[in-house]
Order: sequence, then C-alpha cells, then structure tokens
Amino acid sequence: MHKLMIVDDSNIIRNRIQRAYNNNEFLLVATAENGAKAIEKFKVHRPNVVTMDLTMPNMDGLECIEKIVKIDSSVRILVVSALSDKATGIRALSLGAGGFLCKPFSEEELVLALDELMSD
Amino acid sequence: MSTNATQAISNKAVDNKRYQGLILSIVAFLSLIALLLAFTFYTSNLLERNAVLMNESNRISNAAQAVIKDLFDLENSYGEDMRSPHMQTVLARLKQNSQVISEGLPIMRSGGEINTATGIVKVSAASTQTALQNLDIADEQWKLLNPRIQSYLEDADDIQVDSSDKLFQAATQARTSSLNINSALDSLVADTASVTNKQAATIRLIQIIGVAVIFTYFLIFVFFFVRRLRESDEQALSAQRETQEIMQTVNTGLFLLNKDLKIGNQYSAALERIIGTNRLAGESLSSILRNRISDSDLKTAEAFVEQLYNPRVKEKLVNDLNPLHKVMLHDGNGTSQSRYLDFSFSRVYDDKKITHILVNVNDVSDAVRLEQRLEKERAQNDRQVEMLTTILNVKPQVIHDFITNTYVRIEKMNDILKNPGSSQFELEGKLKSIYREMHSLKGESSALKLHSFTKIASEAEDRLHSLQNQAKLSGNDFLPLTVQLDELLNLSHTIKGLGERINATQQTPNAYTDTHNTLQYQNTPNPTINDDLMNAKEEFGDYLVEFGADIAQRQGKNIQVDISQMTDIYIPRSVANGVKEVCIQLLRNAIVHGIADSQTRIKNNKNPVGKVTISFDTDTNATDSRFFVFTVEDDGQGIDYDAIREKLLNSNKYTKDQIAQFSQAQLLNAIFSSGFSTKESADEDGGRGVGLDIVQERVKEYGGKINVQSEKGQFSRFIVKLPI
Repeated sequence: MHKLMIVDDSNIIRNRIQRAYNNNEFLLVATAENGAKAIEKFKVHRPNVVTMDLTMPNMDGLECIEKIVKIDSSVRILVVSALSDKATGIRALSLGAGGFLCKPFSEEELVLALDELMSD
Repeated sequence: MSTNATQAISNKAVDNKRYQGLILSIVAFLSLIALLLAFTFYTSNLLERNAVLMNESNRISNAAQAVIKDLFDLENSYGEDMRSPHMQTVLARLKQNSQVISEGLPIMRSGGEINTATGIVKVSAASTQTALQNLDIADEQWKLLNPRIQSYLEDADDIQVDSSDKLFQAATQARTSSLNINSALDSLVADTASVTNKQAATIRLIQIIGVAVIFTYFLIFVFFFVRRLRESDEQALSAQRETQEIMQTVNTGLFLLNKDLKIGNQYSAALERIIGTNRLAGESLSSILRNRISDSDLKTAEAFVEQLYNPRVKEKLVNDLNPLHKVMLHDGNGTSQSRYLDFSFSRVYDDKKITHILVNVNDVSDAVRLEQRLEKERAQNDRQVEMLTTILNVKPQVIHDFITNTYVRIEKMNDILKNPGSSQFELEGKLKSIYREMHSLKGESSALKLHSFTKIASEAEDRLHSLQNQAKLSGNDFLPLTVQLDELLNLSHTIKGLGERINATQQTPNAYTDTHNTLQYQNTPNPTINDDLMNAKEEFGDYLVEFGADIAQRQGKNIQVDISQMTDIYIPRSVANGVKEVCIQLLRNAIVHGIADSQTRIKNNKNPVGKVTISFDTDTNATDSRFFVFTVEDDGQGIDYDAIREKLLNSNKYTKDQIAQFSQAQLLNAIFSSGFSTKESADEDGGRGVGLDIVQERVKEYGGKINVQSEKGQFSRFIVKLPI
C-alpha cells in the first residue's frame, strides 16, 4: 500500500483528493497546507506519494518538491495545479515531479494521473 | 519512431552474430595450424628419439669393435711391459669400452640417461620388436664376453700373475661375440633407420595434407567473408541511399538533436526550407531560433530538451509541455505573414539509453490560420445564433426599435467624432456625449441579451473611461473608437438582415399566428390611434423582467421585477423610446445600487428576494393628459447620502465643509451627474457613473421632470414625468 500525503492550500482540493483516493491502494498519512508544513510532515510520516500544489504561501510547491526529493529521491510527486505556463511544468519535472494534474480536475482524471504516476 | 529503435537494436544483434562467426572461423583456423604444429613437434621428437637410439647403437657398436681390436692388440703384444704407457692406454680403453657396452645395452632396452663426451644424452627405450630381438642377441653375446674381459682385466695389471689364458679366452670369445654384437646392433640401426624413414615419409605426407587443408580453409574463409563483407557493404550503401532518398523527399523537417541542442549531420532537405536557414548540420537549434521566437519560449525549449534527455522523466509527460508546439516564428521580415512551426520530439533509444532526440518540424501556418479562421467563424456563428435567439424571442417591433435607435446613436457618435474639437473643454464635452450614447447602447443591447454587441460597447466604454482619466485629451485619442463603431454598425446590419429574413418567412400565411403579435386594444377608447400606442407589457415589460433577472444573476443578487401593473397599459409612441431607455437605466440602477444581496437583506430583517416595481400612471391613458408618468421603485437600502458625501470628498472637487453643507437635493443632483458612481469597480452592468446621467439627459431632452423619493433602509423611488 502506498503512503499518500496531500499538499494544497485549498481545503476543498485536499478533501477532493482525499475522497477520491483514501482507498485500498493508498493510505493517506498526512495533509499539509503549505510547503513548510509539508516538509515537517514528510520527515515524520515518510509518504512515498505526494500530491503537490504549486502556488502556496510559506514555501511554494517547486521549492517544496526540491526539498522533499533531497530527503527521499524515490518519492513520487504529482503536481496538482492550475499550470500557468509550460516553463513552470518543465521546472517541476527537472526538480523531480513525476506527473501533472491540471486544476480543475475530475475524479477520473485524478485516478488516471495517480495510476500513471505509479506505473513502472 | 519505436520501430527505428527496434531496427537499431536488431542491427546490433546481427552485427554481433556476424562478428561471432568471424571470430569462430579465425579460432578454427588457428586451431588447425596449432594442431599441425603440435603434430610436427611430436613427430620431430619421435625422429630425434630414433636418431639418439641409432647414435647410441653405433656408439656401442664402435665400443664393441674397439674391445675386439684392443683384445687382439693385447694378445699380440703379450709379454710386453704392461706398465708401458701404450699398454696402460689400451687397458684403460678396454675397460672404458666394456663399461660403455655394459651401461649402454640396458639403457637402450629400457631408456635412461647416458654420459657421453658431448654431455648427457637422454635415450628412449627401443620399442620395435626387431630392435628388442637384436638387443637380446647383443645382450646375450655381451654376457658371454664381458665376464671374460673382466676376469682378464682383474689380472692384467699384476705382472706376477699369468693372464695369458684369460686374455686368450676373452679374445677367442670376442671373435664371435663382438661380431654378433656388431651385426645385431647394425641390424637394429638398419631397422630403426627404416622405421624412421617410414615415419618421416608419413610426417611429410601429413604435413602436406595439413598445409593443403589450412590453405583451402583460408581460401574458403577469405572468399566467404569477403562476400559477406561486400553484401553488408551493399546493404549499408543501399540503406544509406534509401535514407538519403527519404531525407531528400520527405516534406517535413527531420533531424536528430543531441544533448547540446546541436542538429545532426543528416537532416531532411525540407528542414532548410521550413526553418528558412541553410547549412544546418552541427548548428545549434537555440541560435537558429534566437530572435525568431520569444526569449522565454527559447529558454523553456532548452529546459524542455534537457528534460527529454532525463531518463527519469516519462516521455509523454515532457511532451505535454512542448513549448515549440505551434510556435509562432518572427522571420524578422515585417511584411510577410508570420509563420507557425510545429516541432515534435521523440526519444531515440539505444539499449535503454537515450542517444538522440528525433525532431520533426512542420510548417503549420495554414492549419493554424485555418484554425483561427474557423474559431473566428465559430464566434461569428455563435453571435448570429445569439442574435437569432434574441430576434426570435423578442417582438419584431422591439428589434426594429433597437436597430433604429442604434443607427441613430452610431450616427450621433460619428457626428460627434467628425466634429473637430480643439479645446480641452470641447474634447471633454465630446467624450461625455459619446460616453452617454455608448452607455445607452450597451444598456439596450444588454437588455436584449445581445452579448456580443454588449461586449463591443463595453470595450468601447472601457476605452472612453480611460480617456476620462487622462489628463490631456487630443483628437487622435478618439480614432480607435471608429473601429468599434464600425463593428457595432456591422453587427446592427447583421441583426437587421437576420430580422428581415425571419420576418419574411413569418409572413407566410400559416407561419406566424401568434396572438401576441396582434395588439389588443380593449382599453383603448379610439382604435384609430393604435399605431401611436405601444402595449407596455407585451412590447416592453416582459423583456424588462428578463433584463432584470439577467443583471441580478450577474450581480449575484436575488431580485424580482414586478410589472403586474403594466397590463393593458399603452405608451404613446412619441415617448416610448425615452420611457424604455429611462426604465432600463433606472432598473439597472435599482438592481446594482439599490438592492443589497440576500445575506445583507436577511441581516437587515428584509425578504431575501429584492423587489423592483415598475408602474405607470393609469391616468395617462386619458387622452387629455399632458404627461406620461411612470415610477421605478425598489425596496432596497435607500439612497445613502453619506456614501455620496464620501464619494464627493474623494473626487476632490469640493472641500469637506462644502460637502457638509450640501442639501439632500444637491447631493441627488450629484448622483445624476456624469462620472459619478458609488460602486467600487466597473463591470458590464454599472460602476462608471453614466446611468443616472443618461436618465437626467433623456428626461431633459423630452422636457420632462424627475422626482426622487427615498427612505434609508426602506426604498428608493424614481418618478419620471414625460410630456406627450
């Protein structure tokens, strides 16, 4: 079973992801509303899957990805964000993100994106 | 592209197989040579052994002859001084030769080492039957002779003893034995020699055959591999030709991109045409694209290629972020149309390692332009559908009035624009007048839900608004407006055309028998003046309700427009347009400014649904009345005089003391003036402070009057009187 952490400053998005994927395959171990808290919780709960918003107060998603990957390079990160431009996406990839999900998203899109993220 | 990758891998497998064959053949070839060499070494060793055996045999044979010679010598010289050097030498020689024979014979039989004058010689045991038989003879003879010689030698040195008898016996025995030994050894040598000769002949034969086999093998090997090499060369050559043909003919730009963004040596001929640059081999893609795409796109593209080479990142994922998908190319040539290129990227793998990126470039300008045109046409179609919807849902008269009004307004604005104004004062006046017309236009189109029309008018309003805030105006500032007026005019033509076409179809006998279209004049005292009256509810009221609902929805408010009082009211055509326009502006004003949202209303203990009542003075139906009177009333928060004071203070037009002394009437005058609004930000429905200005302007135009009543937190009521 994969240990999942949800990082998003929106309560609504956190709940949506949680509803869609707190099932047999994934176990939600932590949620965080900003990058700084995400790092703290990551160190404690050591999830192997993280969904990551990019624009957040108190350490944005890109910086958070960089730090998380430094702690554990095997972690799989799904960027869940209204991607403003391609450059940001490429930057996220270079830092170690493994997939994208554009807001707004449907439940099926989320499931697909997570499956794709966990494949191979 | 995956087929190419597979091809590369299978090519490599074929190569490996071919080299494997080559290596195996060389190994077999060398093994053959080694085998022949080993055989030669073994046989030469065999021949050498025979030679040693023959030498040894000869040595013993010689020793045997020397023994008989010395024995005869001793016999003949018997009686001489045995101590003479000569006799001593002879005796010593006899002794030595006897020893040679005694030692040599067993060694020849069973092998061993012998000390000779030239050194230690290794002797192999005699192996042939004949040799052994001869050795037996020699052995037997020597066993007869040797004891006699030894017996003589024991006494020979002693002059006291008579050794003649022993010498005689030895010599006698030697006569037969020595001869026999010699002949036996001779025959041994002859036999060995003949065996050796036979062996040598066999060896030569085998060597010749071996060399022949090796040579043949070599020939086959060379022939076979040269042929294979030629075949593969031909294959490679034809593959190269095919690649070249493909690269020359294919009409997309194909090339390989390495990690440093350098273009590979082989690229399709079309690439130069598509990119518009010659000699691309080894060039950097970045420098080719620099200044032709935006710097940020270029930077993103470089980062993108870097990620394509990053094996940890999935190819599909990167490709979703391709910044060069339908990228616009500025060719530096301002006159030509800008082109669109589509770059697509695929990883080239060699055994799971990303070696290159295959890039496919296409000029998609036509496709993109077609797309844009389709998009434009789609928008146009949408607009037409929207217009059709309006036309079909609204009374033809309303559409007709709208078009007529719009033409008048556009003409008015055109006239204002044509009128050259030079002073700031004139220009400001010009701006205000155009602003008013545009705002009315927007209000009317918005009421008819002609959103595309409203959008253009709203954009024009935005421009006018920014001009209002501009410190200094010039005639040129108005130029862009003509474009928007043109668009509005075109749209009006379209609406008019559509309306006429629809009406034409509706004229057919059974097509349109809607009773709504037939004016009903129950209350009308004199039917002959029907054409001069407009049925308020049918031609106007229904759409006021919808208009109100529309604005309320946009403003996030819950509002009901009450027109129940409008039934069977007829508005004189002479004031109909004015009534309509003023009603629209007052209704909008009531919804945007007068009534708060549901939550605020609940907090203030009010019905969450706000209500705007539009009513007409029924007396106006009396023919002798000189005025047409109507009222727009809302149950909102009333006029907030404090808010007006604050707004005026912020406008910096008056001092705080002046404002404090303003009467309510003066403050009301302020809200009717141009540019005044208490709304924080402007949108489609209001906020620019033009609405009430228009009301005042129209009422003035008609020579009418407007009366405002309001109670804070309860209602606002606008009563308008227009002379008929």
